[in-house]
Amino acid sequence: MITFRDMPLRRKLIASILLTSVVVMLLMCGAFFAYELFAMRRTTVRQVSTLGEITATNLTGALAFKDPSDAQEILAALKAEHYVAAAAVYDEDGGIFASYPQSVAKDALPSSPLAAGYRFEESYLDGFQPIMERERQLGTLYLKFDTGVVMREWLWSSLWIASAAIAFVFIVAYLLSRALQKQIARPILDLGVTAQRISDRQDFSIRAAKHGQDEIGQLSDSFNEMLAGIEDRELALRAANDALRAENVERHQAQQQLARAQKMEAVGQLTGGLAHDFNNILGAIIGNLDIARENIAPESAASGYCDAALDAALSAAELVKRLLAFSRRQPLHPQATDLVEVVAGVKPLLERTLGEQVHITTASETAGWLAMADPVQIESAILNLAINARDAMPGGGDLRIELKSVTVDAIYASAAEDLKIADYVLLSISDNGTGMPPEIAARAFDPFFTTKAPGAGSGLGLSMVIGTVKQLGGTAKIYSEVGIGTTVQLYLPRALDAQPTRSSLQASEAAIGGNERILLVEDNAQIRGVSAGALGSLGYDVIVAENADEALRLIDDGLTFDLLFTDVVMSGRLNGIALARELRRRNADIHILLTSGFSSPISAGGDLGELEAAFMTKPYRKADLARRIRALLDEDKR
Amino acid sequence: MTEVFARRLKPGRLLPWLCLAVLLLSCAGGLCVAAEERSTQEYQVKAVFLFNFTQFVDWPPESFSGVDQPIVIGVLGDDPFGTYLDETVRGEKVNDRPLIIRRFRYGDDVGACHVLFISQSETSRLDQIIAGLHGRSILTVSDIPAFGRRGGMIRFVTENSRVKLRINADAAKAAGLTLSSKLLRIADIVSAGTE
Repeated sequence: MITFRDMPLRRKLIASILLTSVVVMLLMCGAFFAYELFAMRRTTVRQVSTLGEITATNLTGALAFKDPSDAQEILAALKAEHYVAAAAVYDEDGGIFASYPQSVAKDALPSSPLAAGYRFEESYLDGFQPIMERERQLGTLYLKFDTGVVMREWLWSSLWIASAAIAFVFIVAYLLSRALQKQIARPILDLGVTAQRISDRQDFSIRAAKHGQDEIGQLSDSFNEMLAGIEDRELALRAANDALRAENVERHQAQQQLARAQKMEAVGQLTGGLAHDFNNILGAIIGNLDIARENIAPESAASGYCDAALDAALSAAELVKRLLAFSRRQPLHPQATDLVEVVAGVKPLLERTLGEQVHITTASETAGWLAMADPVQIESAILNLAINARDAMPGGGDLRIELKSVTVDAIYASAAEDLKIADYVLLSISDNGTGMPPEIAARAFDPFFTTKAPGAGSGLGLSMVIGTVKQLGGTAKIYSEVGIGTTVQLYLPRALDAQPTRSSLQASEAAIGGNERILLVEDNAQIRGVSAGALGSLGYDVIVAENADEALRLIDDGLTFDLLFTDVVMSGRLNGIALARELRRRNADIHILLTSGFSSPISAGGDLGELEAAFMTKPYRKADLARRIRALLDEDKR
Repeated sequence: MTEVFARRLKPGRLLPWLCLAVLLLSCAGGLCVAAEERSTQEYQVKAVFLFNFTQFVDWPPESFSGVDQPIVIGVLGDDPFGTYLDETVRGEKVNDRPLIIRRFRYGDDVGACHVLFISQSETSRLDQIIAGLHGRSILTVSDIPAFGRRGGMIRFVTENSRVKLRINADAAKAAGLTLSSKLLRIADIVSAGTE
């Protein structure tokens, strides 16, 4: 059962109007009928007296000429007025002359006429009417009205009229209210629909239509103002939320980068530490093998073994060097480099290394830009990538090496990780090999990650490449698609205001010796022995010390040296750098060459600062050592 | 009537006949008295009717010389009303006019009057009388048979001891009289040729 309160607004309005109309109509009808009832007695009396007068007038002839049948006939005409219950005509003498209806009992009528006029008696109205002809009374008419019949008839007709009127008013009110309720209900319903739509769609830009200046119009205005407020706040909230989300993403990326950097740092420290110890060991092996070779007849079987061992040791040294490069502890010598020259220089080597099945093409649009790079490392990177490409093309294919000048703008920089707004020389190496699925491509730069068979690759190739490139201030990107091929892009920063330096591949010509006096300080007895042997064989006058204090004592004893060749990390009071400083303080003329298993004096735990000293990484070949020492000693002659 | 019975009686059987005669005579006498009485009653009604006619008939204005001039009811020939007619109209007024009864012996004597009752004694002279009244606005009333056909206006017809009216409306109209419809509705309407 729907109560009025739960009815829809439209129906509520219609119902209210209908109810009001019907109640008003009922009240009006009630008032009207009350008045009618009161007036009806008067009306009935008037009606009866009129009827009486007419009848009486007609009766004069009959009375005057004593014709009761005519009188009877006239009275019979009263039949038309069916509420006339009885009538009678009395003659001049008061006797009944005629009566109606004819069957009426004489004693039911007054025996003689009374005074003129009508009186109500119970449910009847009766009375006497003189029958006059020109001032002369010829007789009297008696009329008896059944007011009950009149009342009933009136009641019925009144009810009919009232019902009809109420029905008519009901219909008219219904039609009118249907039309009018729209004026009232529609703005409210529209407002409701708008509110519903807003809450459904959460779209606060919708506005309610205003229909007029009434309270609902004001409500619409307030509603719209409220919506505007909500919309503003919503937009502000959304903007804040977007900013927060962007910040979150950035933070997440930064965290990932940091985590990666920390991982790399940890791996770098580990490898750096390992490399130092390895280098010392390899230094001893290589040094001893070098010396051994010189003491063995070149054609003997032992010499061949010696060479093989030396090759193996050098390979190990190379591996350690890669580890150091990966952990960025390999000292780089960035210089303005024309990569076109580097590529041209490395191309013949690639052709020999990759074999005839791989067709190499190169292209360059560098616009003469130079890259800030270490040519040796770049050659190594190209070689590394080329070998990977060859491995990805087991049946042969195309290898394309491209150089391009690229300017990274703000939009590109925001889209690409690791790229700054700057000029780069882009080195791309593409193959049309098997390619990699995305999940493998994503990990391709991770250290120790390899898809090659165990023993076939170290997993350090690509990570070394990216390590090198990042150390140079660039970045590397990899694009790969299974079945199409792989492209590795190296972004190398452009070198500004610089002339290209000739790349100098190390010459392995015969060692050059000398006769100067060298102070060799090395706490590792093996290396000390090997190095002393090597330098001695080159003709130098070598005096050795186990540590810094011993070295200083020798100098205090009055010995003079042309060059100090010292390990950096040593047991004792002073390390190599401190010793070098002390010597510089005492005698600035001495040449100093520092050496360490670490890739730089800084990672070895010291800082050269303003100290004038050269540095050399362990392990080293005798020839390298000879060249460096000769170069240092020859500085004075220039 | 008494003589008729007397002539049929034989002298030899006088007594029983006499007895019968006396009885019959008394009866006849009663009848005669009844007839007499009925006739008197009849004329009383007719007298009232004559008076009543004045209320249902309008005369042309020229019939009266003044506003309060009386309405004259004339009786021509033997007066059958006795004093009754005079008693009926005594003190009565119709339209503020008093009523006067005038009696005329001969048709030529009929003077100014509004209603003229022509007695049965004038039956033989009726045609002359009607002719003599031609052009005058006088309501002619009589109980002479075929009165209407002969040019009279209202004839009293006695049926079942009731006096009824038979009216020649054309004659009344010709005389310039207006008869009330109420009068016409209780009367039989005839025309000069049809009665």
